[in-house]
Amino acid sequence: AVVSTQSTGDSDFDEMKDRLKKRIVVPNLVEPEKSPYGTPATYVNLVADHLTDSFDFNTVKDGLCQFKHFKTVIGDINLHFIHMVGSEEKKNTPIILLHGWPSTVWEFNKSIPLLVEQGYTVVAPSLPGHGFTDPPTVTGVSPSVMACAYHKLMLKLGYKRFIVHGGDWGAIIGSLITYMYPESVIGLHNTMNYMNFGWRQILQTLVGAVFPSLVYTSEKEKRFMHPMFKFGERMYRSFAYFHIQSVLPDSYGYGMVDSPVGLIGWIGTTYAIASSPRDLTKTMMANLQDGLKNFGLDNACANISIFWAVKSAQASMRIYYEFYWNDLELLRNFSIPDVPVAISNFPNEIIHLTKFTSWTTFNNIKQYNYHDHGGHFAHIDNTEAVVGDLTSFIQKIQ
Amino acid sequence: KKNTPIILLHGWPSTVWEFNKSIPLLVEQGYTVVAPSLPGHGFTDPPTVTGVSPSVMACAYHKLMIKLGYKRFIVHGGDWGAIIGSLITYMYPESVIGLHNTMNYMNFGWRQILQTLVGAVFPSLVYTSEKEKRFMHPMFKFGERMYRSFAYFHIQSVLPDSYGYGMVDSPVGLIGWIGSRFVLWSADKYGPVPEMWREGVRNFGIDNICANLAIFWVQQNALSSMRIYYEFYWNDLELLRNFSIPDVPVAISNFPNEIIHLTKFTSWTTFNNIKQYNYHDHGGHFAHIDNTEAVVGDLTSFIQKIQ
Repeated sequence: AVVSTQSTGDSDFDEMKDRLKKRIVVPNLVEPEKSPYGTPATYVNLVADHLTDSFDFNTVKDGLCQFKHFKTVIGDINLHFIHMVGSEEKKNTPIILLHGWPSTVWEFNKSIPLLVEQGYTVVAPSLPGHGFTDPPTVTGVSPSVMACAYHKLMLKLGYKRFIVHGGDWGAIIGSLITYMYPESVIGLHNTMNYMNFGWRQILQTLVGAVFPSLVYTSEKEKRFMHPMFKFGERMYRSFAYFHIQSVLPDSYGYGMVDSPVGLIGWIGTTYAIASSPRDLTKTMMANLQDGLKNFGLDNACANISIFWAVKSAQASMRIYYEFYWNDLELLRNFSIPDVPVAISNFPNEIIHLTKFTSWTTFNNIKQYNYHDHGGHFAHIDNTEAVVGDLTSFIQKIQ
Repeated sequence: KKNTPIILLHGWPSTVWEFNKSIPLLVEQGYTVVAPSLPGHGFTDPPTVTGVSPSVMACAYHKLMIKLGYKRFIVHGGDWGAIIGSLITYMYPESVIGLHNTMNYMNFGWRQILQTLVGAVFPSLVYTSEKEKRFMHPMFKFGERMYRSFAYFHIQSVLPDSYGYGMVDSPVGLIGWIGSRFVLWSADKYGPVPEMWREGVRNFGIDNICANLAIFWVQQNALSSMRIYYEFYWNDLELLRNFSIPDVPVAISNFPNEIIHLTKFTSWTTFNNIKQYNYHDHGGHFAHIDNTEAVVGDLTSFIQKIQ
């Protein structure tokens, strides 16, 4: 079915502004901008004020309406996707772009035009519970199930072999598509590396503890593992959200659907935090501000507005639960032996692995580029590099 | 009874409403009762500065009793109140006549190891109650149970504010998290899930749930209430891993739907002078609500025992 986004959101956006004007935010602290407790009230108020005073929701609608939107039923999911048909000469390498949590297809609003003007065919689905695919009404829709669904989507559209590209859960789901259907995947390009564990990690960590410059290519890679005795503390900090979302994804989420500040306070911070250097010597507010410079306050507000309109913020977190209780063994053990893989490394990404350890999961890495700026959402803050890496990879492996 | 004034310490996410039935029972028996509100809960505003950890609250509560003229007193608590009360007893043993907790303290030492090894083979030899046995057994599922049970503790010790804005701006945000704790911690968590929710509501009482929620809503402090987990983790972890109470008499009341179940043997890791260790057939994490007579009975009998 063909879908128009024009119908989405005006009344929802007005309602959000109204609620924001009446918001209850109680900083409590003498210096709220220095809060160590997670999202500071300063950030919530900054975003809330921008949404009520300056943000133009029409930019979201106009931005999305430049693409063609469709919906199709696959299993229990009514899947939304963007589909832009490209030129004849590029028709052998259609691309599926897979976003993650808590993103939406807005993430690709600059990348898709760049790919389309080069003649590529692009398909960009919305992950269930994110953007325009409703959350599943049944349980059990884990990343591996989504991998099957996305594969089925491409076959339905007539694309027997295709390029897979993804970040965050999109990188993981894309890797699973490649693992389960290697005959369908021409090449896999991820912006987020895959953190697996094997002898390579052990060896590298031991050697790297003594001779770090021998094993780590970038400062970020070194700091990801060093110093070893602080690794546990860093993991404790970094994976707290993963832990709660894999056990009680709904419990903290009611306030994110019923309250725009609840939404801003968690979902709204991820765009900034994941686009910042996450410098622990600075306050959370300082890091969020750095992140916003990279991601853009308007882009954050675009995603927040979409999540508000479709009311799926709470449901979006369920993928962590479904992953943990269904796909853990699979995701611990899979590897991709033959399909060519490319990984783009951005300095503010949340995972930094060396090419050596990446070989644990990806046994045929054809491209492994480093860039000097960009973060977890590189399609937003280093569009040219991601698109450049993707197209050069496709040309390399054709 | 003026020689045995009592301080009642509630935890997260409770309020002094928890004691609304217990205080009258104690008062009619002639006891002097002091019941503070934990900062960020009920009628004590959250701190405006960082660093107010459980050990800081222990000092503050001790100072309160001294200010009121009570040089020696009985400490009673549950949840963070039990932990803070234990810290008061550890730091000021000369001030504490006796410590009575409704939630046991989960410490780790040779006793836990020994009991777990023996109990893996001869459970009936070491475990007094079915709940104690199920807390540790089967061993291979212990990791999974801990992963499930401590997820909230993990996030609240790292990013207490991040998920909380919706709890101050939206009543359903408040109900969805804070409201759920009263229910889940008053039910048998090993049964089928839908029954667990119904049972929890029956035990705690929907009006009591709404009373606490109304207080949190009006006071707008649900978000800041979670900060105690952060302050504990980054300030008090070493202390709380290592302290023990060698001399002050201790009593522990064991309720079936409590969230921690330890044997008396392992409790000795932390409390070296346990004078009373009672089990009850009903009641949960908020026993003041769902088994008031048992808590008050244990408290008063303990006081009489040690006077």
